[in-house]
Amino acid sequence: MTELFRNAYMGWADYKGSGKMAGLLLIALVFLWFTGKAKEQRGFLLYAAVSAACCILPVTAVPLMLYQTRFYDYEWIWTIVPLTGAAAYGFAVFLAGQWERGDRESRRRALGATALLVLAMGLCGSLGGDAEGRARENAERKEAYAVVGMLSQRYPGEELCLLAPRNILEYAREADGRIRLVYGRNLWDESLNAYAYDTYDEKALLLYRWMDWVEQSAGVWMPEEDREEMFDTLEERTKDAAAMGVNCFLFPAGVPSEMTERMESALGTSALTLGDYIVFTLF
Amino acid sequence: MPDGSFWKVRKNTFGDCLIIGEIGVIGLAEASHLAAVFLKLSFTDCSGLFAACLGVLFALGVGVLIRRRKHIFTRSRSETPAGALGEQRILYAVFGLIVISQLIFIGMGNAIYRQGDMMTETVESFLVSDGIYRVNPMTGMPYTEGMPLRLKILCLPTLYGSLCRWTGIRPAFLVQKLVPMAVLLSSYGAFSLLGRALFPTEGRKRVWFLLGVSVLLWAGAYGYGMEGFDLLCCGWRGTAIRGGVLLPWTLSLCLRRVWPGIILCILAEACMVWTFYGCGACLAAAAGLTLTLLFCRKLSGRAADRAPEKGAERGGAI
Repeated sequence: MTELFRNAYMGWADYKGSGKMAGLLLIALVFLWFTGKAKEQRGFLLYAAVSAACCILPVTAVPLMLYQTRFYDYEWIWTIVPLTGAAAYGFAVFLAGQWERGDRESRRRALGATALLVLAMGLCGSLGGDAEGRARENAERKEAYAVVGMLSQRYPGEELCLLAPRNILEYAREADGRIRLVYGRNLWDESLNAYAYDTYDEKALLLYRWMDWVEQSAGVWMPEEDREEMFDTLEERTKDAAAMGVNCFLFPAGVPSEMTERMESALGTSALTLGDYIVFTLF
Repeated sequence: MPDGSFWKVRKNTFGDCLIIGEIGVIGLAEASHLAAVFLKLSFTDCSGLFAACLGVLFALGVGVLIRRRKHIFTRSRSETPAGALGEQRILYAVFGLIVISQLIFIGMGNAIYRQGDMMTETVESFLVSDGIYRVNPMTGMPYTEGMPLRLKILCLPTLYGSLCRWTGIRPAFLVQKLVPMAVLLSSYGAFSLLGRALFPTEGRKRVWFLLGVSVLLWAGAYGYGMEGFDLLCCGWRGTAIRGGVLLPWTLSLCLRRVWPGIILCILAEACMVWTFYGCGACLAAAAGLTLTLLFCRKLSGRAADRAPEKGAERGGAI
């Protein structure tokens, strides 16, 4: 129970910290109550105020969190608050009042008020959010789709079970549902584990860690002890992966040549180049 | 006492009919989905069953629309004074531009949020394995331990998967782009009905209300859990449909005291989102708003009762 109270308290702190939409609702409600413009829809606005208060106060937020099964995060209790509806009601009443008079001076004033209000509303958000992060994610998605497309084109009719870098596996099943994986993105996005009782065994976890090293080895630098362990366990991990059903290994093209040679001899196959990647297949 | 305008909006409008139709589609998807889960039908059979049910629903819907067209289509035309039409047209044009910009934003797919969600993979796995949850969507391998029944019974993957099967559209495109666009438009339909309930006789304020909603959705696109974010970044999710379509419509129904529609919303939510045994946000919001409305009515009733008493007291004093 203490943890729930802490979650409710911290949840509200995060909620108001990341944006100011809740503040906008409170401003709209205060404007409507104190200008006497709440009379016509008193019930609706009272409900908006009471439900918002219930979400803000930890004592009432906790029962709401229990009601929503504890499966969902704090912010979801705000679903019951007509935040958009009540704030838009205030927006409509205020601006319709501003634009009521027809003379030029009033209209000019109304235009200024409208512009200021829309700007203030925009500032309640984050004006575009994390554009850099989104751009990076989109580039990864495009690359993954392109690589999966190339694999499907090169090996039509084959039932691929893929072991690849994380950014490829992230989108592989989305890009082509025929591709199977020994571990999926629920390994790094833990919230997805709520959708199944399945868990990964020790070998899958070791394979995931080993693939992470493989990706690092294609980069500029990696810790020496990780590098040593990666080479020491190469044959073992390859054998485990093949036993788990992997028939297509996709590595970044920049991996050390020693790794390529040892993979070729462990799998008894030769590496093929596929864009910025090399691929080893067991069919 | 409610005036004539109040009774006018109690009738079902075309917007109401569209949302009822959408809930009907969700209900049929749920029925087909449950049939396939419990009778272990293939996904082909499941989507075939869904298509047959949908055909019947479509025929019924067209029949109802034709039969009740006078009540549904010939409403509120006279509500707008002729002088205010020009201003309203300009406002509608601005609103239209904002909606188009949001549709373009969704179509570009630059802000797709899929953390904690596996809808596309699930739809892919339904289509590839020709079965419902026969393989783990994350890996494509058979389940080793299975999945919770509370999530297995939710119908949206079957709905989207069936649409993919009938049209041949790729799941990623349908789920992440087309469905969010449709949900966004439905959401504006629901907010339009809420505006109609909030401003029964003031068309001008209704347009301002819709404009406010569109600006707020843009502003709310910043964070997980906000309505704008749900609709613009992950509109395929059950929570987005609930927050954007079902809840505004539920509130409008409560304000109009049209109770059967609220039950539909509660059921639709239970089909799409894991709730506390069906007691989800729609039920909580409907109960909360109805109690508040009753409380306000009682208060205004007492105030009305007191007014003549006070008048009599004053009269006596004089």
